[in-house]
Amino acid sequence: MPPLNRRDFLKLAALLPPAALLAQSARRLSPTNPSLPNILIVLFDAMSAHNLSVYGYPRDTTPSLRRFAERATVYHAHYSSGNYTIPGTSSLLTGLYPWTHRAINNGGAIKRSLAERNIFRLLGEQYQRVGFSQNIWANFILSQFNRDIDLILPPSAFSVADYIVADSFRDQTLAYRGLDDFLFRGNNHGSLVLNPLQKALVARTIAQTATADYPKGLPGDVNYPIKYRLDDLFTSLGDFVQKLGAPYFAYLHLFSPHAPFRPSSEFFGKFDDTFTPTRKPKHRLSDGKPNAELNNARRSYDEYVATVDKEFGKMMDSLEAAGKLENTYVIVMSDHGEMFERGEKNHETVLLYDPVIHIPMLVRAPGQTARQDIYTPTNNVDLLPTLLHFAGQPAPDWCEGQVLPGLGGEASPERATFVMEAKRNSAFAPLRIGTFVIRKGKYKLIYYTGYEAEDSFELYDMEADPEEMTDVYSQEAEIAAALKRELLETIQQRDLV
Amino acid sequence: MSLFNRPNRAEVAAVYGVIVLLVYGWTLLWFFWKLPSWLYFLSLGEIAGILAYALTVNLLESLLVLLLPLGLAFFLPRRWFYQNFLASAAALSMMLLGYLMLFIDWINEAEGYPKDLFVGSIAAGFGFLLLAIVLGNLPLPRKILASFAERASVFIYLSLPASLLSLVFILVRNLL
Repeated sequence: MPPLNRRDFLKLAALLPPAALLAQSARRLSPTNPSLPNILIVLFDAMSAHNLSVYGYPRDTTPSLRRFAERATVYHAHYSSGNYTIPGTSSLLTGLYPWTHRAINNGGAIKRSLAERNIFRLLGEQYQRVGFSQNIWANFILSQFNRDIDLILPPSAFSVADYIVADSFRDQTLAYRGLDDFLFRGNNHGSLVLNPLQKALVARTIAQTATADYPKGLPGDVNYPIKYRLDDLFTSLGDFVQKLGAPYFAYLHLFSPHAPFRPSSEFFGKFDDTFTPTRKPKHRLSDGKPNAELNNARRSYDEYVATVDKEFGKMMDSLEAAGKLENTYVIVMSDHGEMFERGEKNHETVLLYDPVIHIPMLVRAPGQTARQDIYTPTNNVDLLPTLLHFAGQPAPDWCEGQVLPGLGGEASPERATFVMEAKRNSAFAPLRIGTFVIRKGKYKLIYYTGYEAEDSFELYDMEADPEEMTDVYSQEAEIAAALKRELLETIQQRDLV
Repeated sequence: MSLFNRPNRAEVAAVYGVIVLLVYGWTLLWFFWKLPSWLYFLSLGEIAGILAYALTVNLLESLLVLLLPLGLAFFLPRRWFYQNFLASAAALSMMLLGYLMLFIDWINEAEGYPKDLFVGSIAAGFGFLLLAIVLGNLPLPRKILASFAERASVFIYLSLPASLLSLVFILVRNLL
């Protein structure tokens, strides 16, 4: 063999870094333990359990989910940890409450020192880990975990109109914030020249893609220029999932049925009916919107949910027919709910009544043949330890959730779960302004602090009064005092900036 | 006499200064408007990163806008635009960028395809060009515009280094 000259050596040396990268990619995309179950999370943004017929809503909004539930574990008192995307998503992916992970502001992020505490890292390289979020704010959170995710699909994947700029940047977290969020987002004005140009192009594309299939316009993100057809989206997602190598962990965060509500023609007008929701008094901290406006929005939302449900059902049928769900846990859930009552519309609210925090949680285990119903209060922080349990791993000691009852965990009446809203509070400062909920047994205590001169509390018996119509804080003084003590002590212990 | 209507460097710099003032000023205005909310949840490093992306885009935007008066000087008859390039180009840039400030709000509020807005904007563009040519030919407005533009060129000394530094930052973050 002739000796290597200097030039050959340099050529070989130059090949080493790409070879190492290739080897690393191959290893990351070649899971090592095919006997592990796949885990597929389908998350519908802003889906309230209160508007789903699978949970007893009078309008038949979710026949497909009802069919799915026939062979799934259905959680009837499942709560998000926050009332909008940032805290809700952060909690379900980290198993931490917002007071710990501190992603509490609009567009906020998980505390940097805690970003390694995520489900992708914990499941490890034995899984092919895939993340997809159409919601850019949830994508901010995913991008914090980018070292632990094998593939992050851009938010605009499967879209008809895509004017997201940062997708092609390697430095995605900052690029999304600097470009798509600051310079080009919705009503923001950061860029004087390219922003109007982009808006003009988006308007033209929307006009070109207008279709009678969606009478109110194509579904899409409310703030960012992403438009899609739900039928195409779910078909593409189904195809994508079929191509994943086992075992995989896929987190699919879909924007619908988040506002703007864009039902398909099949469901548009479907709920022009006589159903009248329970009339509830306007809350003093609400926007004071009139009931007629709330009921109209609710009707559109219900029609949109029905549209989403139908396409979800079709995707599940195709995956099942292809035999792709045999060794797969399928989890259907949300990051927060939606609200059309007490003067508040959607979820930008400081009120934490059940419609905005009570969310669906349905888990179909591999080979499950019967429905199981769980009525114990559970929370999105329970997702992380439950997934680890599926993968045969213990929950880390820092996790604030528990394995879901019915899936390896135990239902305990003594267990308290929490929800909080504190977007007006700095993530770097102690919690001084916000709304906090403790849900324990059949009771729910709501604590408002910092909004008014005096803090206030409300207590509801969720079994006797699921619509939260009668505040029993004064009548049930003993229970109220115990819950108040537990909530305030927990905040004091956990609120470590 | 040159075959091409190429404005001299000092005049181009002065017009560019006007563009920089408006393009960068607008972004910085909204940057400081958003800053208090960012301070709630972003580190100073991340905020600086956002600013770096914004300044780099501003560089691109300002150069794009500059191409318009340069192109007009090149294509239009000398007496229309080139002869009073400094005043006419400064006036046109100010009117167009001022219009864009309004246009952003209008298009954000528009429902459906705002065809009238687009047609109206093209008409407005021609109107601004006409007005810029007229202003460039009137002694007093010409003097005021030229004087303003010459003073605005000082902003280039701030914007260019900041943008180039930002560009390097972005290249490093995305290529290395």
